[in-house]
Amino acid sequence: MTRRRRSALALLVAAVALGGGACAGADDAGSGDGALLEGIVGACPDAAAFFEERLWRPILSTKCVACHHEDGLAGHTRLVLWDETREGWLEHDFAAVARLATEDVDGTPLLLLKPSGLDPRGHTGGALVQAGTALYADFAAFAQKVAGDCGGAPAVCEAGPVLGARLLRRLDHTELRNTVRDLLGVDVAVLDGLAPDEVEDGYTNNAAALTVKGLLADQYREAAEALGAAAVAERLDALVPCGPAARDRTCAVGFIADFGLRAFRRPLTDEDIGRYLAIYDLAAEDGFGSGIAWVITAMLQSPGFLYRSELGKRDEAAGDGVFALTDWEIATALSYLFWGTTPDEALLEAAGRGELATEAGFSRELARLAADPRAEATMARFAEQWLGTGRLAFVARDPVAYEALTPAVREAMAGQMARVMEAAYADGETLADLLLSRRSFLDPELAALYGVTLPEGGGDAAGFVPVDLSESAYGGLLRLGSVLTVHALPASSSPIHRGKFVRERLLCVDLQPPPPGLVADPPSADPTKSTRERYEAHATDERCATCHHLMDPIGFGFERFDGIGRWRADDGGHAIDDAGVVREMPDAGDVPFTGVEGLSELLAGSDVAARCYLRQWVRFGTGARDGACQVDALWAGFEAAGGALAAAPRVIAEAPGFTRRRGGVGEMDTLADGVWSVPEDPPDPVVTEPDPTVGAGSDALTVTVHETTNWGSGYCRQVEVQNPTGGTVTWELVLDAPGSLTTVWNAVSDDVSEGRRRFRGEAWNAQVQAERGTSFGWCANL
Amino acid sequence: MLSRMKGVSRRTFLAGLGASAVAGPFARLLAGAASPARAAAPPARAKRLLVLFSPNGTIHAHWRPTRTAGGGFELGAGSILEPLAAHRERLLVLDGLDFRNATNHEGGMAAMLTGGGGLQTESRGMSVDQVVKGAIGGSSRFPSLELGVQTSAWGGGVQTRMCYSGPGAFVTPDDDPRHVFDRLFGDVVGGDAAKLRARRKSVLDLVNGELVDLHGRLGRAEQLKLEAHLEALRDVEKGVLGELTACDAPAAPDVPAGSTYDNDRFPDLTRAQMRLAATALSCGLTKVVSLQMAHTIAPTVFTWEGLGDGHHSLSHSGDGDAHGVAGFVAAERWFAAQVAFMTELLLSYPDPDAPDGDGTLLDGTLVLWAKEMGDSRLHVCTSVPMVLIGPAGGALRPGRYLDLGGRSHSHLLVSVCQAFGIPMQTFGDPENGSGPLSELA
Repeated sequence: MTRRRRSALALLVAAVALGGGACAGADDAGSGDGALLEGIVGACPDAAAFFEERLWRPILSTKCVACHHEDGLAGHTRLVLWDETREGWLEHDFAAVARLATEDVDGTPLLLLKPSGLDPRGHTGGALVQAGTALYADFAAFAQKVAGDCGGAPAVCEAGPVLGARLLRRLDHTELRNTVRDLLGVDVAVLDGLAPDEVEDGYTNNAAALTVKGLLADQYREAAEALGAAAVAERLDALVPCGPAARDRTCAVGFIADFGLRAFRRPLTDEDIGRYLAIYDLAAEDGFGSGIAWVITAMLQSPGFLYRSELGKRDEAAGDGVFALTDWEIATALSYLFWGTTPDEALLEAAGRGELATEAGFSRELARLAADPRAEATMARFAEQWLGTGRLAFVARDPVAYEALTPAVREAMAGQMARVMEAAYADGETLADLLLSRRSFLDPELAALYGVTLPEGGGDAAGFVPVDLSESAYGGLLRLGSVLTVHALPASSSPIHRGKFVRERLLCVDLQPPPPGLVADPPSADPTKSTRERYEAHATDERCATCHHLMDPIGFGFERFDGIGRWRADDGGHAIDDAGVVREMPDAGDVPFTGVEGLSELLAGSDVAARCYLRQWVRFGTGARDGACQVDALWAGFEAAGGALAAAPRVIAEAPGFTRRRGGVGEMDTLADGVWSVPEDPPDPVVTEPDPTVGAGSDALTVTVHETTNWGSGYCRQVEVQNPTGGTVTWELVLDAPGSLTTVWNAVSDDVSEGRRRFRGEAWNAQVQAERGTSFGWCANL
Repeated sequence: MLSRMKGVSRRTFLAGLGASAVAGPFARLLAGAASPARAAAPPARAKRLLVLFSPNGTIHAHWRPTRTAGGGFELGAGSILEPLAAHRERLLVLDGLDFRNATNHEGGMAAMLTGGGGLQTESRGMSVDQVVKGAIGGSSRFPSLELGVQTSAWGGGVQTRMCYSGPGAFVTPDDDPRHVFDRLFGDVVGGDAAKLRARRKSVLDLVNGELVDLHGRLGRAEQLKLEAHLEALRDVEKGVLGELTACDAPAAPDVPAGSTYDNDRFPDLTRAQMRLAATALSCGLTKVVSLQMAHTIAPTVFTWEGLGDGHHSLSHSGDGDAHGVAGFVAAERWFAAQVAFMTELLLSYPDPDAPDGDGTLLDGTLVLWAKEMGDSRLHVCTSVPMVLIGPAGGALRPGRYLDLGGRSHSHLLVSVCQAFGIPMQTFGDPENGSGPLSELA
């Protein structure tokens, strides 16, 4: 594929040099092509490759050209495309599409309006390129290149590290559940009903797709309120940095700083602390616990919590427009990559000490994270999204035809896959090993389903026993019950779904959804034919075959396995033909194979599948949409690691692009910066107040001032007032209170002189009775 | 000329004149032609909108009502619409409406409530419920409510969404009746509402401030994310801080936690959402509700009807496949029975607009039961089955079965808007035609 792309590009550049000579005379607008192309490719050298890779291959060549050719339904429109057999097609088609990009309709290029169905004059072909999709973004990027703006992802990868954009990555729902569980230690079932994450390429954590829209914001609110209340009810002692006797406003400030650091994965600024203290003050009318609950509720709705910051600080030494992630951001990126949750105490401390920006500290923490059991859970989550098996529990199945697929069997299939993946990661297996290995794990449910006799004993807690399936029809990635079941139909196997699965998930060749306007009966149930025969008939229609010849012939290779992955001797009485072919395999052309075993060997023997595996990890690990260029940059490292499945996240983390980003002019540094030292718990220092000026009658009081918090540019002080006398005193104190007071509690204050303030009690504590005391305090910014 | 105009749509004609030279002698003549009492009466308008959706097209032979002598119609025994037979006089069954420039599951889903238009059109790429929300929703605590039943197992996409706030911009339905209940009645059930609202407001203000601060540090693409977030917070604020409902909270939905995507809970979830929809409308919490049951291509298995195949698979049963067709009809009849249930709920509440307690909630409500395709076996969006229920405050004349002979369904969307007094002439792509379906009034 790469070779082909470069040759087309070379051809085009040559054509430009000749002034578009290749098309002269062949097109009524031919004479304009040369200047147009020269201008565009001159300004954006990757425009032609981008056109071919992102517009032509995915859609223009497969869908648009069907009508937009000289004798086609749309042959009379401004867009007439040549197919690839015609000399000069690329120059011609590039120019035709570029012209539509220059035509402006109310500020939008016609190129975007027509295929998206947004043009008021309509588009007979319907909305092929829906606004909001990746394809639409590519059309928009092409229009920008035509207009001279060359930004966006290059179609031809640059040499060297790939630096991604500066991002705010919303936690996906799994990350959110893990994070809340780790922060609060309470049940997180309230997060189960959230509006689902947008799924991009099978992944729920795509950086661009995840936003906080409409309903989700309200669901966050509701869940945050419940979680704040639950945390305080169940875990207050563990969460707040002070004992039951000292639960006051000062303690709240300590909590905000401490919990805030963990929730936001960075130290809070003074402004942050002031904002959350105001929430505490409002809700503490119902007591300390209420105040803390609402601080938690607010923090769980904060962008500081909901988005992972990958913004970085401008680092001109590293290059123009380069931003380097801060220690806090590195800790966060590592933690979510390996654990899918918030950094633990040790990682935060390493960040606080500035160790993650050093090679030694980074390597040490990376090794620690990768070796932790939590990394296994992330590997399992990746595998579920990569292979689509996350739907296993829900896929609908005909209860009569597939009576055997009980909830227990579904669970067993998931358990089998988890153990197979876990063992593959632990033993350093490669993708080829995973495809070919016949080692597996079965529990009695699955053993019964597959007709395999389990050896006595040796099972784990859930009843799974390691088995060698060499003598059976099972074994290897492609014969996992979970994989075969999710890629099937409610009442039958599905060559389409299984072929699509191999193509998109294992070979990384994406297919487009069926075009609107295509009216075709799908193969209906017909007991006189085998599944294969029904689908072969389906694909005789040329419009179907355009895409289905890439899918169905792969899927036919799976026909020995029914809709829940059981081996079958025949298909409803019909003989089974499981010969298949992978058409247009990258760099190999059409490759025939027989059965799942043959397909497994084919995939295991090709770098295409291993590169695809790494690319899938890039998508999952970095939230990128495409990942192709990153794979070019990471491949050598992955090969050096022996292509081990478990090496993928480490290779991603070790690449320079992991800790650096590219940003634009005028963009500002991250908030995730600042110094934090591991908090100790010394007794609050007593502030020397040798001579508090006191009001009438107050001179008999005992006054102690504690400084409870000091964050450098601000502080909080708490004052204990005791009345040792035998009578009631209405108190009034003038104390050192430098800076501007942000809050005062249990007292009112006014300025006396620079840095000195007078404090008097509120209605409820203005008077202190004999041998009783009261307290008040304030916080200030210096 | 004049008499024809009166007969067809005098109201619409006046509404159309509204913005221009209303005071002309011709308009006065029209007004004077009516009796004083009628002249004083406000135009017959719908006050509330309820859009229902069920997926995967239909099989017309089993859906079409039977015409009877004298111009009436019947919902034949065993037919898809038979469960609505008790409400026949309340129905406007619309046959022969086509979606222009749309076909197949995705095309139909996208065009169904939008008419396929872009930003430059009168409806600006919005779905009809969102347009009506813009016109009449503003004064409600919830300008609109989008409810769903198992719409989101595949995430949000063209297949799983029917409501649009703009071209390509989905409005996510809430699939969890328990969450809907909390949004609607959470601050009425126990606790100190004033305190709760004050705290919620301060949290929202705080988060808002943080988002604004963060916004300034970012590149444009990331700024757009935060702008969407800020927009969402404005809706949250309206929901949690809007006027307190005067209603007593109903019983909480009897749906277990974690069952939102349990196939066999589909019926319970549907009825729970319908009860909430009816209560919200009757309490004046909102005037615009949509309820999306499943989504196009949904594989829901109607086990409660004894079926084994998924709904989408059944929908493609050819005429030769008697078993498959019977299964699909059974599933479709179940949907019709739910629509009947919804109708009965609306009939069970008094009309909130009638001072003397006369009438029912249905009287001022326009109910549209929409589908996304015509014949499901052909993947086409011609003769898409649509049903209107209720008099819509007098804007509709129900009790009829109309064959619209292949007209664009954009006219239906225009009619819905005009029933609310929105003076629109086109909906979605203007090429699809202008004006309402005058037959409906």
